[in-house]
Amino acid sequence: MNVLTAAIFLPLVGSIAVLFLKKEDVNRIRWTGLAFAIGTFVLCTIAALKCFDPVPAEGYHHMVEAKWIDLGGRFQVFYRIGLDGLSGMLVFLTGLLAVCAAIASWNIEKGVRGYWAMFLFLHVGVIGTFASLDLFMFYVFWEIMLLPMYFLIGVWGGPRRVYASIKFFLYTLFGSILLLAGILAVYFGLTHAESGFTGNPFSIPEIAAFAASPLAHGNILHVFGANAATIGVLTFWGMFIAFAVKVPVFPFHTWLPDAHVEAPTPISVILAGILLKMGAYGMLRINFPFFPDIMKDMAIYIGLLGLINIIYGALVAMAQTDFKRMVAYSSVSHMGFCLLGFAAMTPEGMTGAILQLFNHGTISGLLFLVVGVAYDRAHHRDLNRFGGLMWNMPIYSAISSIAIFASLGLPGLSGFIGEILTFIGSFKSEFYYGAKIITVVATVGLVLTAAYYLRALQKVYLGKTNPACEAFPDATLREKLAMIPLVVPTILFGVYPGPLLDLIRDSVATMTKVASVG
Amino acid sequence: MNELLNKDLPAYIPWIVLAPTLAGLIQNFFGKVLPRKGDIVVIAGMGVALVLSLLTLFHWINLAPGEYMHWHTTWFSVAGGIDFHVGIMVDGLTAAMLVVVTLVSFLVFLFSSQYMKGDPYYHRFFFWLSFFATAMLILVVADNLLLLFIGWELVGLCSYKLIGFWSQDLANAEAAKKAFITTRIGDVGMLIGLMMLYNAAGSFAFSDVFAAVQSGVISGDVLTWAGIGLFLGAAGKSAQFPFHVWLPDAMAGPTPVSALIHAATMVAAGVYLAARMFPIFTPEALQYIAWTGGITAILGSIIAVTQTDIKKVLAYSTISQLGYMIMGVGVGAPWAAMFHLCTHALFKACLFLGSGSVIHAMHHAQELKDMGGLRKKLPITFWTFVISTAALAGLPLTSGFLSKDAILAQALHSPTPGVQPLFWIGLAAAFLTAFYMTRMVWLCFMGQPRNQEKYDHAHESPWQMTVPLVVLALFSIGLIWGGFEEKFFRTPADYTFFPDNEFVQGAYVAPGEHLHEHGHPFWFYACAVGVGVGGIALGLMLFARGKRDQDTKLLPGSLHDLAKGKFYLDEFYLNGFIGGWNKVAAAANVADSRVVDGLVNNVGSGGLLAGDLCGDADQLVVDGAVNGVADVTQAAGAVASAAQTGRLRNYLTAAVFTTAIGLLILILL
Amino acid sequence: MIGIYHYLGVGAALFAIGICGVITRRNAIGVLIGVELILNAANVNLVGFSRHGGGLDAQVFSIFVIVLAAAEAAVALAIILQMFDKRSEVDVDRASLLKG
Repeated sequence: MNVLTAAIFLPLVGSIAVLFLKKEDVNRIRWTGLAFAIGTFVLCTIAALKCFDPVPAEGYHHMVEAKWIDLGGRFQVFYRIGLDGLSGMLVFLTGLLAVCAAIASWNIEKGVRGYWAMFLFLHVGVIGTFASLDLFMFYVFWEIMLLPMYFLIGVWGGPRRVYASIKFFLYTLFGSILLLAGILAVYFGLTHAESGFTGNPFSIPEIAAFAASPLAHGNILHVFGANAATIGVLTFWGMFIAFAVKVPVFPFHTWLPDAHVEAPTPISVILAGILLKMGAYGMLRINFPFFPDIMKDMAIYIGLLGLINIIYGALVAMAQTDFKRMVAYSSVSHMGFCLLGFAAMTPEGMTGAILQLFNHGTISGLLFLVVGVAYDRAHHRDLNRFGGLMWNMPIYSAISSIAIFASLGLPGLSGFIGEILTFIGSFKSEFYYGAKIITVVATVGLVLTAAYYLRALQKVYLGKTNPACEAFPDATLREKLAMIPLVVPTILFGVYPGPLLDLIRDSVATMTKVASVG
Repeated sequence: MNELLNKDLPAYIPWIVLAPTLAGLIQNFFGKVLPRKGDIVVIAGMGVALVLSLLTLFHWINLAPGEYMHWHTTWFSVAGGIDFHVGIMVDGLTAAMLVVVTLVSFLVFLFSSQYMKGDPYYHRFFFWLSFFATAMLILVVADNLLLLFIGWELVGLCSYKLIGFWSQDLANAEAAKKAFITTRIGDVGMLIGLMMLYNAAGSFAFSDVFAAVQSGVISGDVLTWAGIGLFLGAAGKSAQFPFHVWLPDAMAGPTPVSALIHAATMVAAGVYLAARMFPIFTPEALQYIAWTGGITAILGSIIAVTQTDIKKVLAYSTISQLGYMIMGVGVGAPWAAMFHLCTHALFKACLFLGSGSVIHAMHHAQELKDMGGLRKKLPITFWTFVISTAALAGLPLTSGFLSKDAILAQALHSPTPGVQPLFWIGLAAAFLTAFYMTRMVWLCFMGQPRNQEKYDHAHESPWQMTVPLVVLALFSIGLIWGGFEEKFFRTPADYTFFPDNEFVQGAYVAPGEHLHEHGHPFWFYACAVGVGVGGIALGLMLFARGKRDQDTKLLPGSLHDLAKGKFYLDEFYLNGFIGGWNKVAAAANVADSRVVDGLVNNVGSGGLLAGDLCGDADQLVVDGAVNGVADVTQAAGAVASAAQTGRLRNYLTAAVFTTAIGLLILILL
Repeated sequence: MIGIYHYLGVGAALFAIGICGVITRRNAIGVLIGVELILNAANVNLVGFSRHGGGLDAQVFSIFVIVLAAAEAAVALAIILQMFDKRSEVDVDRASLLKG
């Protein structure tokens, strides 16, 4: 059996298996869930390791193509999955965070069986989305992910969980409809008799190859005659917004702080660590390769949106008093770097942005675990009501410092390499006019980031120990087990990013090449 | 490139960095079970680094002029065959820095083993010290800008951790944060400079960057801005105006930290960077650099006159001296700046450690009002302090005289346009330096004790503290440094990577060049010696009679108040800069929750409102008319309501079966 | 080749399954799933008619239906969540507030 298929559906098996256990048997449910999470991690790792090999002839590793739905004519949907370096890296990240989040889920006491079933089911959607090479399947997995997330926030969340989950659901649904419309536009455009496209209208690799070829005339939707340019641009932006909601890109970001604040800790970890990456992945896999010429015209807006994300996210984070909300806004700021790197379309910028995807996944996951540990003890997240935790919780504080300094881009920790590559790549870019100015302004974000993180560090960890926090025990074994798997890559890939770069080198080359055609 | 020769690196050189790193790791993980919490491991690691640095120095001196040692390897590479390297490069600049850094580090570590004795977080202190040494050495040996930047940021982290070492007191944590953020603002400039240079050269390696400058790939205004950007980083680290505000606050850290990081090594990294990157600076950039240095030199010395805390006096003195060095780079004599960096590192470390010895003896009192007459209690500290003060004041025969005059002499003949007035500013700063140091020495060691109780408890420090003082004081003697600049910076080529380009050659003043060509007029030496002696004489005149103390206003009234208030720059930053950003952040937050999110919520509430309106209309208009009918119907409804079980499934079943029966009838008929 | 009756057959089957689901499930989520099935049965029919001579209009309608279904799902899920929050259960039989 194909290892990638196994990685996608193992969590599904786990999800069903958990449902067969007795409701009261919470510990057995937890151990079963954890076992399936670890199994998924192992399969994901095996699948990702294969991606170090040279690209096979069919273009992707673990490629599977099986007819799924055949409605006659060209409406043929395939079960078509495969990995390249980029998706391999993200699949590995998913597996890693699944284990950490599973360990952090131990203290969920309410509706344990339902929780674990949903938790595992969520990963089917996520891994499936990263593995899909078929638009139809991509959309299906994209939607599959939505439902468990909705319930995980809506049922196991904090006091305003209903508001947050409905907001999350509506926002994402809004994006999904645009994505669906985009997929339909592409389908009708490509199946038109004069489109010149002979492949499968749902195959992502075939459409991307077509878009880069001269047959596409610079716009895969060229069959729409006089309106083709407008339809192309609208489709591009429609799909972009669909993904932008997930990233999230200003002004579609407001679901994120609410969802994060209300979601339980492990769900925040997955939300920040993986779900945000799905949006960026969608852009890289679908949006940019399908519309390379439109991308060239629109790169400046994407760069600008990246800049706004960086500065605006940092500014709003600076004004927060809720620890978790601050970290949530820092995600907005950090995902801006990805947009900046994407828009640059230089090898350095693209590499930096993709590294940032992985590194932000581990670092923000770690930060949410850190916030969770503090919250479990204090039952609040108000920055002003902590203080001096480093004196009575030394190990926890050391891990927190690593997370915070990694997030503010300290060299030697993984955040730095992504950021510096993004900056030099974006500055170097000739892809769109104004890249240099946008990059220079974006550097201000570094100071703002330092400002809000050091403020948080000072308020929570430094100073005299707050009397209310004196009795807090240091991180327990379980908490350490959840956090240390994320500390390791943070340090390892900060000192030696080679493995990640080897993994994504070919993908970066493909992406930057495709976009520079025309 | 001219006749630069790349020699292989001797295998022991990487161990200069690795030895303290390993020592730090061992101490961090096993320190708690080792005797004395593993400080011996750290000190020994530093000792190894010191010995190896000396070996490196001698190895380098034996190379032919223009040769340097270089080794590098690929760190990582991205798509398109773009490689990023890490590497070690040792030329005169690096060799000199290596010895200074390892020597001061070693002595400070030794000193700390007594000074910090009994601190509950002793092991943490030594870990960060040793981590600092690692980062600083990475910075010094780096062969490219990226690696240098990494060391640069890491020393910033260590500085942050060590300033805030006693962070139970939030003021210390505040000072640490201020240091980190202020230098990071400079680092943003540096990052922009890095991006511009990388964009032009396609690499971070010094050799590639200089080659790009030489071949004119980057030139003119762009190069000026790149240079100024890079220099902003240097200005942040080296506490140059207007970034100098963090350094006095950084004195919140333990005194050995102040000696090592905030006097001798880390703050000098900015000077090192400016000297290292000298070939990229255009005349306009050099002008900016020179004036920044000059302003900082005079500003620092004016403020130092009004300070009453011995560490603060020394901090402003450091700012002023760093200004001197930066000025030296700006006037085209980076070798003079480096010379001053080296001499200053040693005598200023001695002064700081001396102040540490005093503070240790006085049980952590550091205000001048508690001191006086300490020479009898602390003889070794006193004499080493005096010798170092003489060097700082620039008295003849001391190391400081040589290096300071080298800078002043070059300022007079600088090829950089419009910097000649800096000679006079430099003289004024030197005069003030001699004066405020005399004031401090007198108020601290001479005269009568002003706090008898503390005086009675004072005692000389143990050997671990006095030996470093003596060693450092020895280096204040001018003889040791004889011919330093000729040895290390013989020709521009020797000063590795000087491209053979006309503009650089034009801006560069070789050691002794003007001396040989013009000779210095008598008045130059008269001035140079005169300001030092004059400052000391004025100091003695004012204080030796014992009528004046630390609170006497020595400057004209309003200037004194201004200087005492540090020219109110802190307040300006706090209210204008930080306050401004905080307001912007608050506004952004309000905008986010009201406008952006508000829009989303308003769409939602709009829908609800529309629903309500329709509902109201329905009730009043439509319903009103129907009410009459309804009353009638109600009665009938009451009968029919029996069928209404309220169960959804029942309704549906009924509906489905009705439809089915209807269909059946249709089909059958 | 797949003809119109295949579509109609699938549509009818989906409809029947949906109806059965709605009638027999007590769990609100089950009912919701049934309703979705019914809607999609209509979709299948529309798409089938479109394919066999109906032109694109029917497809447009099916997109309307999908949007409608999405909106409906959002509202229904919100109701279910509220119901769960207020009553800690989602049994439609016990939610008989409409009882006359």
